[in-house]
Amino acid sequence: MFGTGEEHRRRTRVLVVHTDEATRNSARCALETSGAVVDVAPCARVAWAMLVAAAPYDAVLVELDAAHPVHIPLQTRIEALTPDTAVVIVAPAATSGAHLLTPFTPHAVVSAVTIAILERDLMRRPLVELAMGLAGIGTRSPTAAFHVDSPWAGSARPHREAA
Amino acid sequence: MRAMVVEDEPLIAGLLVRLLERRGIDAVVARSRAEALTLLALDSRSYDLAYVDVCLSDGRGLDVLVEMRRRGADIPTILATGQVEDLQAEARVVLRKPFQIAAFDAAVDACAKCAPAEAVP
Repeated sequence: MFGTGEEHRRRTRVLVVHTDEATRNSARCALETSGAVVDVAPCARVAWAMLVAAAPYDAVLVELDAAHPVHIPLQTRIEALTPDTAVVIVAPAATSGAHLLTPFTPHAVVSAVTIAILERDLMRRPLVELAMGLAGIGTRSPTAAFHVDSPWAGSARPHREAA
Repeated sequence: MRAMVVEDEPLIAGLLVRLLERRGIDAVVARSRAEALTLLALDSRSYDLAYVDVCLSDGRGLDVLVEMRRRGADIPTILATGQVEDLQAEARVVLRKPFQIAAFDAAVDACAKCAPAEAVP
């Protein structure tokens, strides 16, 4: 049973949008290490150009910056352009509504993207299936995940490096 | 069918349980290496499928596979990892995180194909 080595995977495409280069590179490194194809953008303007030009991304990591809330219009535009793209909000510790807190571990980044993509896939399932089986996470709208009462923020730990 | 899901991230575990239940597979979750080893100690023979995250909060998921082998439990296993490491000698199916539902379903299908045939009465 062991050791025949079958691997199931389609390379996940992820766009990382963050103003901090170290954070950007950290996320890129973690995701590339996991086998994902990663692009990075330092701002919303560049990110938007990449979103329009490139093939659809499975997930976009977007920085939540209270002083410059670019994630709000960017999120809206992503949902309009590629509704199947999962959005992961990245923010410093103690920020509500975030899916991934900085500083983060590689494991946390990969987990956050995995959750976002699985949730996105579940949201695409027929409504009847959602109604039957997906109480909680699956029945929320993608937008709801960005509020304080999001299933991510509420059930748990946002992903970050342990102290 | 019955599956063991060894995953320390509760949201991922919950999503996987729902995906398995949708396929008619009952799933038992172990949130750590220790919990998984306890489940195996209680009953290692009733699982038809296992999903094991390699990186657990209290150790390596590979220890769970070692324990399965030690107990002679030939459970078709999906090894999930977010790291570049060669795990293909360890399990039938390797699933790279982050993954889509389609990839998970394909992994479950692959395990189902390699599961021991059911005993004929």
